[in-house]
Formats: sequence, structure tokens, C-alpha cells
Amino acid sequence: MINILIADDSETFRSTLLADLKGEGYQVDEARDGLEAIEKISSGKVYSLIILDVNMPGASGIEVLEQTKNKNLLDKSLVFMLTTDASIELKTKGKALGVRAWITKPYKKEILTQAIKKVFSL
Amino acid sequence: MTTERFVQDLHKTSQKTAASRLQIYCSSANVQVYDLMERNFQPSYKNLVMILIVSSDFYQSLKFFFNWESTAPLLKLIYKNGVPEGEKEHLIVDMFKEVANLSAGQMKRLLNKSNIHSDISLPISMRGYDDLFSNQSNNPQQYTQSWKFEVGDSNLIFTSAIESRGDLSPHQLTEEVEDNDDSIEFF
Repeated sequence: MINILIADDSETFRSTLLADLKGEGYQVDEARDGLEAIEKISSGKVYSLIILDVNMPGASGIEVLEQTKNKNLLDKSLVFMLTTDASIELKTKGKALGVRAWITKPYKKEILTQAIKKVFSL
Repeated sequence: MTTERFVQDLHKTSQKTAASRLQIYCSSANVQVYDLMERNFQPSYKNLVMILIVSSDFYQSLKFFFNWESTAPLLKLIYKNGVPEGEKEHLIVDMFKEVANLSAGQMKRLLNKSNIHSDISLPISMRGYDDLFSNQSNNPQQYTQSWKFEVGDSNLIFTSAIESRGDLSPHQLTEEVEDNDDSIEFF
């Protein structure tokens, strides 16, 4: 079973994303900001996939990666960024931190689900 | 390119971007846009969501003025399986914060393609009345334009305010970025 953590500070956006992913049969947890994402990743639960926004209060998506990767908490997880920010500078940082895919909002459900199937060879 | 021309292009592109992001976020709702000609427009709406775009030569604020009660029907377009029970104001504010975030992100991409580096803030929301929201700046280098957006029976005001911090005349916007032209990249 693929279990996914989504971290985004927008409640309406999370609800749409949650419905799309649950509709595909995935198990989904949510975090309301970067700090809650760090807390959930550090809890010991292993997520197959972590989907992070960049522009979040508390800690940005990049900061979430920096803080959790240093503690080897992402060794068994794949990471997607799902964000409005598509600057080359941020993508380069994300790539160096092990991000597997960078998806620019507003996302299309079929693009996201195809990307998940691709990285998990489904 | 003159400063006035660049400012006009930036205003117009921001308006088109905000309307299209609202349309996409509310699942293809039809957004009607009307120019507001009054220069010192004083919006009479209770809620404001704002986001900033900052570059070395200018600040830009994108503002959405609305009454949460009259825009609450938009939630039905997002929550297709039913809007959560209870108080709705925070959900409407959240929706406009995400639309502001999507709009500023798209503007950042467009500015980047025009070789203008910029950064965007987190969206912020406020509740109050006109005197709190109105733009009181007397800076002659500030340019403001407003539009009324109508979505079904809901309406809101979108305002773009640009404050020059340098010479804008060398800048020129490229053609608008197509939606999803760079929507996914694998590493």
C-alpha cells in the first residue's frame, strides 16, 4: 500500500488533493504547514511519498527537506514538490535534496497520478 | 518601452492571471471582468487577501477584496462532495489566499521569463472596512488599477498596485506563459 504525506498550508487545496489521491486508492496523511510536516516525518511512520508545497509558514518545503534529510528520515521516501514556485534556483536546491519530481500548481489530477504510477512502476 | 507602458502591461497581465487562476481553482467557473475607472477606488468589502511580489525595481501587491458571505457559493465549486459543515469564512479566506498564491506564482514565472528576478510573499488576510484597506500612499511612483470580477452571483474586486523602486523603462514582459507549459519535471 502506498501511503502519502501531503503538506500544504491551504485547507481548500489540501482537501482537493486529498480527495484526488484517496480516490486513486492511496492512504493519505496531511500536514498543515512545514513544521507539522517535519513532526510527521520524524514520528517514525515511513511514507512512500511526501508531497510538499514550497511557500508555507513555519518552514518552507525546502527547509522541511533540509531538516529531515540530515537525520536520514527520507531514506525510504520519494519526494514530490507541488508548488506555484518553479524557479530554476529552487528546483536546483530541490534536486540536490533528492526531490524526484517538481509539479507546478495548478496541477492536473491525471498528471499527478501518472507521475505517482511512474515513480512506483505501477 | 516606457515606464507607463510596462506598468500597464504588468497590470493587465496580473488581472488576466488572477482571473484565470480563480477560474481554474473554482473548476472552470466563468469569470466576468469589468474595468473600474475610478482612480481612487474605495472598495466596500469586509475581507481582503493580499500577496506581494518584490523585485529590485518594483513592489507589486495583488489584492482581492470580497465579502465572505456573498462569495461562499464558490466553495461548492471546490468541494464537489459537499462543503464542510460549520463556519465558512475561514474556508473562503483560505480559497482566496490560494488563488493569490497561484496568481503570484504565475506572475513570478512570467517575470522570470522576462529576465526580471522576483520573490513572492506568503498571502495574508485581513478583516475590516474601507479605511483599513484603502491605499493611502501618496508616492507619485505608485500605480494602481482595479477590476470587478463576477463569478455567478458572487463578486469581488481585484487590485494591482505597483510601486516603482528604480527605472522600469528598460523592462519588457514576454508573451504570457501558457498554462502547464512546464507543469512537471522529473529529476
